[in-house]
Amino acid sequence: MALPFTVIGGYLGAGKTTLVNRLLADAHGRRVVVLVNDFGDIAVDAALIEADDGDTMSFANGCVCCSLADGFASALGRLRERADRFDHVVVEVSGVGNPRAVAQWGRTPGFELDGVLVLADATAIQRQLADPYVGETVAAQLAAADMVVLTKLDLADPRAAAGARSTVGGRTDAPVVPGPIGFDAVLSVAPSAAVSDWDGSARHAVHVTRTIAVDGPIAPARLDTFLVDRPDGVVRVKGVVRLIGENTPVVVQVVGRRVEVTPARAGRLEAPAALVAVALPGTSLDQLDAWVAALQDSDPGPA
Amino acid sequence: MVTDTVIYPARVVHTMERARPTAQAVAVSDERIVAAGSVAELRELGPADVDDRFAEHVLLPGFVEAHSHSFGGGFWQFPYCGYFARRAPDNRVWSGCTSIDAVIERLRTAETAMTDLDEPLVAWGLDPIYFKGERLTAEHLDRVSTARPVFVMHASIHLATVNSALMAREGIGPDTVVEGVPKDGAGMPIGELQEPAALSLATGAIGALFGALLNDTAIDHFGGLARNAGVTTLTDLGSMSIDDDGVIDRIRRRVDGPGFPARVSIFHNPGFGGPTDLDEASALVNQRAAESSAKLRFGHVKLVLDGSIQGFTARLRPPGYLGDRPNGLWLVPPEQVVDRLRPFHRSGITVHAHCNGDQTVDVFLDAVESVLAELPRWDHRHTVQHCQLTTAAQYRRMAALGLCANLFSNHTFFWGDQHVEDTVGLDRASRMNAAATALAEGVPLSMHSDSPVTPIGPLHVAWCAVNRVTASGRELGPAERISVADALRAVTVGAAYQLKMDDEIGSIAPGKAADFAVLAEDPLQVDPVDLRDVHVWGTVMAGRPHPAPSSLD
Repeated sequence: MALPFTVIGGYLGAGKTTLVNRLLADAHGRRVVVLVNDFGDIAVDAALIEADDGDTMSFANGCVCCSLADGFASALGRLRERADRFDHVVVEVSGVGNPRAVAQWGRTPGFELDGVLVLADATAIQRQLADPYVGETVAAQLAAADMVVLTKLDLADPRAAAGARSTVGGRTDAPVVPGPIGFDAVLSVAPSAAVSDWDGSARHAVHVTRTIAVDGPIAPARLDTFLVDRPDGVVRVKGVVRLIGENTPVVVQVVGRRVEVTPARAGRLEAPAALVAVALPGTSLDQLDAWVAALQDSDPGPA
Repeated sequence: MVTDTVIYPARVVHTMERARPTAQAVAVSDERIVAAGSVAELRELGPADVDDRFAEHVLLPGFVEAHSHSFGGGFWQFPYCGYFARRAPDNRVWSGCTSIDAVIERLRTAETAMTDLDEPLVAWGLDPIYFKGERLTAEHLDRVSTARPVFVMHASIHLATVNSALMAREGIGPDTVVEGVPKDGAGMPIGELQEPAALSLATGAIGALFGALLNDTAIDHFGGLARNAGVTTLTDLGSMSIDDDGVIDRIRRRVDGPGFPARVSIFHNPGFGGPTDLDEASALVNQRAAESSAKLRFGHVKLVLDGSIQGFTARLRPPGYLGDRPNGLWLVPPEQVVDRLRPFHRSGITVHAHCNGDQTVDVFLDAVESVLAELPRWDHRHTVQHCQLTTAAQYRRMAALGLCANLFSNHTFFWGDQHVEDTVGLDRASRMNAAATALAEGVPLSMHSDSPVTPIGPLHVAWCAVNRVTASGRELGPAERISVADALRAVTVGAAYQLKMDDEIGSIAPGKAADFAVLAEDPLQVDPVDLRDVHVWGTVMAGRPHPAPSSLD
């Protein structure tokens, strides 16, 4: 089974390391391997570290942090050998790195590109975009994103935050989401997280998550409509469904602006037909209910 | 143990020393120069044997190549298929492949000689920029073999072209979704693999190639290339991190062996590993420096700040690249350059920074200025490497800050036409690698090959700086020409200076290392247009002669 591969990009100070540290400290049961350029930035409670040999840091919660010092090919090669020990790969791109180029490693054998997340510091992003040295680099990062997370909003006054959101929105087709981002929206739904209904009553989830059963095959056009016309707050949809007229089930993967529907390969052929959707807090629950209902309508829809 | 003194008469000895610029012979004892002068003068110093093997030759200080990479030696374990003729470690010249048919022919010859049916055919050196209009594809390489995987690494090292058999073996096909695998109208990959992720799909070939880059043969080849070009001191300019004891010990055994014909200065590149805490990295560099031997040196650091001009990845000031091209790539965030420099500077280490674009030079100069204000230091000799688009004003800042310039003068020949037509246009191409301006502004100068990007060959580099002629024969920036004497100084004592080795190598004077380039003609007498054709007999290194195998070219 291919390991889902998430890329985290963004310029210096955007909060990539903070996010990585947060993830390693508590991945809610997910076994995540994080690839970073510099171990020195990892600031996790020492009590959680099980082993550290300079190249690989293992944590008590099953997560691992690997160094990219020897390059991607080497790090990913070693990872492929131990793939069954993990659920997800997260790669931190350097501050001037190109997230799109790094994302291509997620398309090499053994991996499945899940999404490109780019962080933007709400207090600095406008200045960075205008900088003669790094403006284009930062702009390219935003353009490559499937989802942009605005960070440090707590440090920005409301007008600056709105300005940042507007500026960033103009530089990317990806949804721009206020941070801090919940990991359900970035990775898969956590095994140990309480899966809530839309009322958001789960203790762990920052976002709201729902599993949508899909009985019987549905028309391809209906699936397309469902995915493309989803409410703005729905940032993630993953699962397997059966389509009318297709023998092979399809894998659905929606992360931010990226929508991919591909034939299932071995390992997913017998998976139960269901989709897991993650929505941002504040998304209209009525809108979400209507959206799900349209998919589950017993009328199979136009052929 | 006392070694006898040997006097080597020569047609002429050019010392690169102002006090006594020429001599007729040199006396050598115990790996060092005793003196230069006439045979009679040298005899007066004491008992000596006269060895007249160089009587008809010209002796210069052994050339110093201050920007080269050892993996050039690794590549020579595979067939070369580049556009220009190139001299191999065994001193045989491989002709250039000036058409796609010629490339196919070269590869076919190599393929026929291979006995292991499973082994991929790996070749190197292809630069498609010279093949106007036609693009090398799998279809061409299928004419080499339909059974054996074929992998041709481009000169940029960012691209390769492969055949159908390789793609079949590695599962590269219409379903491949990695960007950098261009496909034809029918959705089939055309055989190009662009950038590291796509390149990594060719696992067998990549493994074979990268596995050979630092083996013992690679190191031996590196030495052979130096000897054939008259070079007695090489650098490995930041192709590795120096923290792996196993790798360093292996290199040391090879280089310290009596047969290895050159000294090597290995720079640490923190981008390739080692301690990410740069104070720790500094301590490591200084520790290795203390372990240096006569032939294997450590102590300097390489930083890489941007990409290349011909790859459009160097960072340029306005007006930028021709056309609507975006600006290049930073390899270090500009605001962090000073933080990368400071720990090494504080520890007394000399830092050489790759800066191809002029915007990159601005960032580096600002970082150096900032660090010097904090931590004044005399004679740091930090160096801008490549330094190709540097302006007169920037050279003046460099002089004020004590910075050196190591120019990529070979670009004028190899890519001069491309710079005029594709990258920066005629005006800036004429100003590239401005050796005359650097000298006029008082910046200590050297010039390099960046081997394997261009071949190790200081005479060719000097020829480029002296003549300023492109591959098509066009004069490019004749006002930046320098004299033969200045050019030869740049590839001897000038380069030694940037390595902080000028007190021991780079010129012929009493007490300095007995390192010589042995030439068949006098480079200061030949027509400057013929400078690159001066025949190299070989070298003397630490008093030991190293003849290049005689070639039939």
